[in-house]
Amino acid sequence: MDNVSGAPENDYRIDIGIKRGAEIEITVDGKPVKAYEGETIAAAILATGTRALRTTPVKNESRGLYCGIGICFDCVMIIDHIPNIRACQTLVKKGMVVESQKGDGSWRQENEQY
Amino acid sequence: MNNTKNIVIIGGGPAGMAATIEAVRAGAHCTLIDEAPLVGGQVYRQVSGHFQAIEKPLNAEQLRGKRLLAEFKEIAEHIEVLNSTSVLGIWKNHEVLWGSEGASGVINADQLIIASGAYERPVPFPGWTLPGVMTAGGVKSFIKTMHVKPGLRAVVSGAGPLIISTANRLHEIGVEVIAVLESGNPPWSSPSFLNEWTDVEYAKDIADDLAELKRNDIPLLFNHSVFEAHGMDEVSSVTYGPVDFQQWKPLKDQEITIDADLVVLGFGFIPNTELSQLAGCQHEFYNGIGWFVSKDELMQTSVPWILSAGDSSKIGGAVLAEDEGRIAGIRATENLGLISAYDAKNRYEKPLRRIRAFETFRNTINEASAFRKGLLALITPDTLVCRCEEVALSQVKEAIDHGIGDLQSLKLFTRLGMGSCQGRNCAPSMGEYLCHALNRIPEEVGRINPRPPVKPVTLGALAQMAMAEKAIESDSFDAINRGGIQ
Repeated sequence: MDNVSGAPENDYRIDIGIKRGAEIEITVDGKPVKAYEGETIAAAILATGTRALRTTPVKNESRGLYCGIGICFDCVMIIDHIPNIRACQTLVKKGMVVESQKGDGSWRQENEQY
Repeated sequence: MNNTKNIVIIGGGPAGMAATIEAVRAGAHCTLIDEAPLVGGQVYRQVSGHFQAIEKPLNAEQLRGKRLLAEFKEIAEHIEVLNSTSVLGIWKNHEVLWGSEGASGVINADQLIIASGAYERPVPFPGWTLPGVMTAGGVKSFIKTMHVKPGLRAVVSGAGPLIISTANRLHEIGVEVIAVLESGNPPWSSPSFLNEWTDVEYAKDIADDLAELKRNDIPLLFNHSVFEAHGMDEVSSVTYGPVDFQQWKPLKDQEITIDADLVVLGFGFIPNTELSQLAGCQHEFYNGIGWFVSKDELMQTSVPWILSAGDSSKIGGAVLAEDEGRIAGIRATENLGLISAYDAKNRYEKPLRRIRAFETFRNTINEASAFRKGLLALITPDTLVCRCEEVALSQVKEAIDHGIGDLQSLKLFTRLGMGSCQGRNCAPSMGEYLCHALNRIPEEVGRINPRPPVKPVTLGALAQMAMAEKAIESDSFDAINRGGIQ
């Protein structure tokens, strides 16, 4: 898995039946991604057509949105440098820096990256 | 309010909202704690305040949600709502520990109503951890609130009516639904059965969903199930096939593999019982469903100050949850002595009558979607049975070879259930597995004991507790909103 941001031409949003909030931009693995106020991080990323959000500590496998209701903790990502945040429960904010979590997302590992 | 007695309600879904409405109407002071930013629960989840839903004809479920939310709004200014807040622990001295993103606190509950809902039964199979494999309830909620396609070509698999409505919602937003695979051959699939229950709203919903599925030209295959999801970083193909009628054992010689990027799973629901377990309430095992809290007809658990309503105690869906919630709210107020037994009886008479009328239908639906042991044959030695700690079935078998025979020992031996989800997604299937492999009963296999905090919380948030407690007293803390509705 390289990055979670998909090809820019993909937009899996449905425009029928909804008027979205203001368009904003977030950064996902260093790349700009379009988002709308009121969307969860998971929604903004899935809207690009990408579902892999992190890799696991033991087997290095991809994981994504599974339960969608905040109980499985499979969709955790590094949000504004804080690891283990559920992408399905966290709303986007303008300028938010999102990174796909590799492994356990420990603070130590995080500090080594910076 | 002229009393200082407090009713704490956990969960802002239909049961929790209805409990709060009735308790406030009966004169109680209430605090509602909900994990979501806005009340509604999973079934009546509201779109974010930044979004504006464009009015369109609402289906029966949406209409019920709109009505209940409007009713809740009427009483919202009289209560405290802690949104985006989890309950982390419950203690015998009536203390309830809550935690939110940046804070935590302890609140006193003279009466506690647990309405924490249910979650989807995990059914492990090879590839079920791949991105693109999602639960039906999660998919429905995601579509409704985010209006984003979770994939382009879907296979929906499970047992029970939810998979039908989920397939329709996917179709509606332009996702191609290749097939709906129903493991059983349930009585609700027959129009004549549903016609017997025309006075039950839920039966009408199922009939409507089946008709819509037919109009959408989506194949519904009975006694079929997903067998395996394939892909590198995401799902790219799915293997499925027939299962036997009795135990739903996969008939692998008849399997087929097709391209699909979305697998949606809806194998029925499991009550969220961590909190009632922590609080020391008595539980019982319902075959094929799992553990749920024991309670009387008026929602009273074995702990005198704790009541339980809705899917967190017995699966029944939103309509039943609302009626159970109403009864719990009235009963809790009666327990506090704020209304007389006579007054209480008048108030809960109608919802109680509806629940009784619904009982047979509820049991039929629950039995139709109850777990059958044949599905355990889907799990290969390499399949991860604990998603969090990445424990494979082979490790569970090794533990059994070492004499492990119950879930709590299995947890200590393999780390299964030690991760962030606290065993919610491994204990049910591995409980069944241990029973099956060792010929034991659920009471022997036991449960994974929940321990506070039942949801992950940062030490920073816990450290904020003193400050939060002080703020609650002065009633000015930010996390306590008046209302909780848009």
